[in-house]
Amino acid sequence: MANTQSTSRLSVLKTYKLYIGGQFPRTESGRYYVVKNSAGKSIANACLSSRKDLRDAVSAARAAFGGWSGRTAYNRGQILYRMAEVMESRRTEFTDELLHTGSTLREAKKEVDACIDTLIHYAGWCDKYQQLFSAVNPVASSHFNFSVPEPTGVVGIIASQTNALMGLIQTMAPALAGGNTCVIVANSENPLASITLAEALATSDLPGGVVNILTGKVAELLPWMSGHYDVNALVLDPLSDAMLKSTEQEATTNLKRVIRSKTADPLSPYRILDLQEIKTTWHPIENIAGSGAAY
Amino acid sequence: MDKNTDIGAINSKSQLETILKYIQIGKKEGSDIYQPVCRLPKKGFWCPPTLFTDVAQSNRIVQEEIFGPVLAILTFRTDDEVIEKANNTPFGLSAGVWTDKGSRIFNMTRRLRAGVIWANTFNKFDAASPFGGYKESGFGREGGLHGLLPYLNINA
Repeated sequence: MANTQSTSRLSVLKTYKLYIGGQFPRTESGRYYVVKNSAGKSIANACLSSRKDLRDAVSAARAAFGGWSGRTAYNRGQILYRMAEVMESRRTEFTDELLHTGSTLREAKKEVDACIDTLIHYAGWCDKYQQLFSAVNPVASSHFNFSVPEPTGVVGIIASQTNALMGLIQTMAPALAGGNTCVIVANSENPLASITLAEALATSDLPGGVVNILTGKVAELLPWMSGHYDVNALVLDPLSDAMLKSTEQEATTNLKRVIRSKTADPLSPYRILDLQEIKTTWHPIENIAGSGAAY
Repeated sequence: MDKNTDIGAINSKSQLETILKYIQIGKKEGSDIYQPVCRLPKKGFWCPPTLFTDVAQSNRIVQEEIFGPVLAILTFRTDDEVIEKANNTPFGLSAGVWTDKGSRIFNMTRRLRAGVIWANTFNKFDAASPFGGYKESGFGREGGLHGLLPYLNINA
């Protein structure tokens, strides 16, 4: 009988795919690009997303928006916490991804820990920012008048091109905490950690479509994202001035909110407010003659 | 002008022309129009209150902002249907709901995607009350705490 067992095992390489609507499709375009580590060695092929992939991701995000924004704030907090739990259990995997990008082991561990802590931080904010940013307004007529923040809708995020994972988490977490759904273009040079994050998210309690992650070229995808009529807001990592100008022009098609946060603090609750609309409700109060006498 | 006047003059010739253009569009789109018989002053830019019935969701007078005394009337049977219809436009400046059931008021006001919602009242404004829209109705808010927030950082 022939020996079918080989002595040395071939390791199974992971195919890095996109994350759209809770699933992991390849790009519909069939295109890919080579991802290199900091030493210049090829380590994987990543999908080179197309305009169609972006549109699929926006559709998935829009479909998920009603359910996600309709959950109780407390429940969204539980789910963000769960996302952090799942990341915690995969710390070594994330650390390995960051080592490829040139981080030292110490730096990589520190970044992964900071990512998890950021998620925990925003999990806590889920049912608290409303109190901070709501108001009962003292109008001069007999009305009960109050203003509350509500999620803006589908948020397009260009993740930081300077760090592999933290930039994505810092922009994604406040968007999710506020009840938005998002389409994220990952770091182009170092997209692997973002896809590993997608795999973690898929096994957390986050509903499919709430977060969608594309890999590819920012310069190719950004014009389609900024002109898309079903994207309500854009969060941009600092871009070149020319790119920012064309993005803001395209964004006027449907008055997208183009966010460049006024705070540098990545943990500020103002990051949540950046992606909220304020709704003011008026309701009459019956005007009883001589009211106040009851006191 | 009588202080009980609800509908005054239009604020400019160009806005009156915009409103009249939309009234023509409404007629062309096949909706039924109702305008009360009323005498308009000779001087100034006036438009009579105008109602359209038999209107479709896709009609321009439903989808676009007219900013005039023109009401396009659609019908509905369920809460879900009216929310879907009301939110199915690119704009979201204001909305109104009339109902006698308290819990239904907040069911509606929560789900309407607009910056100002009038419940059992309409067209109220106050400097202490934030004003501004969702979606393509504009950026930011004017008035109230939320009008001040862009200029402030609140610190504990």
